[in-house]
Amino acid sequence: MDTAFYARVFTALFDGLWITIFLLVTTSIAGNAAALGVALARSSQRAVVRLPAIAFIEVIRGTPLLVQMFIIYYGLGQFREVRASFLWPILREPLWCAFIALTISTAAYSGEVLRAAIQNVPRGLTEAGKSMGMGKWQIRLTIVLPLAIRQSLPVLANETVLLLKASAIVFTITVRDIMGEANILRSQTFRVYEPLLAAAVLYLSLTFVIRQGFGLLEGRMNRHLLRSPAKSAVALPEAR
Amino acid sequence: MKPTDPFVLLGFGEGGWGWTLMAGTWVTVQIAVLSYLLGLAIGLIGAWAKLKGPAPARFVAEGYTTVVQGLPDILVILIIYYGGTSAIRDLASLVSPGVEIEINAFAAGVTALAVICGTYTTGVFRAAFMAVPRGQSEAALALGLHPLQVFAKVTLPQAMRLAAAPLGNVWLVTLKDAALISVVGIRDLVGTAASGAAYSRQPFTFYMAVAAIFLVLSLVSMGLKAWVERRAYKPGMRA
Repeated sequence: MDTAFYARVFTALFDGLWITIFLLVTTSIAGNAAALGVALARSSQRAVVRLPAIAFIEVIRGTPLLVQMFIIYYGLGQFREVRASFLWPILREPLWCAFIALTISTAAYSGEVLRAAIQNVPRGLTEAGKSMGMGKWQIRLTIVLPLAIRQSLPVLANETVLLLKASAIVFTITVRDIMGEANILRSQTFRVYEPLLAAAVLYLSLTFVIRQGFGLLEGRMNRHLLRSPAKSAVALPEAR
Repeated sequence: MKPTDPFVLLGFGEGGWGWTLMAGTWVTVQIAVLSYLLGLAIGLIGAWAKLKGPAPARFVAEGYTTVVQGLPDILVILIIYYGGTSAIRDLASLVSPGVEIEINAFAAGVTALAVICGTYTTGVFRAAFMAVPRGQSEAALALGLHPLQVFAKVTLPQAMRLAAAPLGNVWLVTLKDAALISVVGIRDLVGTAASGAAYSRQPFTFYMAVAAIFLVLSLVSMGLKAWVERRAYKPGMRA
C-alpha cells in the first residue's frame, strides 16, 4: 500500500472540497438572489424591462459556461482600462472570476425557473391582494414570490446539483477546487484512477447531500399542507 | 506588429483566424452531432433496460444514470479520456508488452459526451415509452404482429412524437457540452480560439467570437427544434 500517496490524495481533495463548497454556497446565494430580479424583470409588463431580461437569459443559456468564464478571466484583462480600474484586483483573481461567472449563470437559469413559477401563481391571489388595497411591490414580495419560490424548490434542487456539476470547470482557470486538485495530482503523479475516482466519490456525496437538504427544506416550506392530515391522524382514537 | 483589430483578427484575410475558427467550429459540430447520435442509441438501450430488461440490465442502467448524472461532465470526460486511455494501454501491455497505443482524442471525446448525453436520453425515452398507452401494443399483438413489428410500427413512432421536445433540449445541452472537449486538447472551436488568443494576446476578441458562434448554433438549433416539434405534434396527442 502506498500510504503516502493516498494521504496526499486525501489532503489535497479535502482542500479542494472547501473551495467547491465555498463556490457552491456563495454562488447559489448570490445567483438565486439575482435570479429573483431577473425573473421579476422577465415577467414585467413593460418591454423596456422585459426585453433586456429575455436577451440576458437567452445569451447566457445559449453559450457554454466555459466560454463565459474564459471571457471574464482571460478576456477582460485584454483592455488597459480594465487593468487600470479598481476592479482589476478582483478580475485578476481566478476564484473571483469563477464566482462571477457561476453567479451570472445561476441568475439566468434559476431566473427562467422562477419566471415560470411566477406566471403559475393564480391571478386570483394577486387580484385579491389588489382588492385589499395592497401595493404592487407588497403583492410581489408577500404573495407572488413566496409562492413562486415554494413551487420551484424541486426544480431549484436540480439546478443546484447542476451548479455543483458546472462548478467543476473552474479548474480550467486554475481554481483549485476538487476537480482542480484531482487534475493536478493526476498530472504530477501520472496516476489516473485514484485522484479522479476519489473526486467522483466526493461529487456523488455532495449531490446526495444537496438532494437530501432540499428534500428537508421542501418538507419544511410545505408543512402547512401536511398539517391537516397530521391533525386528523392525531384525532384518531389511539389503540393502546 | 501583430494585428489587434478584431475585424482583421477574426477575418478571412491575411493574419485573420476566420478559416481556422471555421474549421474549429466544424470539429465542434461534428463532435456534438456524433455524440448526440450515439447518445440517442445509448438512450434507447438504457430505456429498454429500465423498462423491459432483465434485473441485471435494469440494475446496470440505474447505476449508469445515477452515477453519471451525479458527476460533473468535465470529470466524466477526464475519466473516460485519461482512465480509458490508460486502461486500454494496460490491457494492451498485458497482451503484448512494449506496444505503444495512441488513443484518438476525438474518439475519446465523442465517447465521453455520448455517455453523458445517454443519461438524459435514457430518461426521455423511458418517460416517452411509458406514456404510450399499453392498449396500443396489446391491440397490435392481438392483431398478430410480431413484437419487433409492434415496437417499430406502433410504440416507437408514438413515443418519438412525445420525445421530440425533450430530445431537442438534450441536443442543446450536448452542443454546449461539446465546448468542454477542448480540455483534452482537441482543436475544436474553443481549442483553436485559445491558440488564437495566446498568439495575438487578444483573448476577449477570440472568446467573444466563440460565444457568438455558439449563440448562433443554439439559435439555429432552437429554430430547428420548433420546426421538428410542429411536425411531431398531432392533435389530441397526450403529452
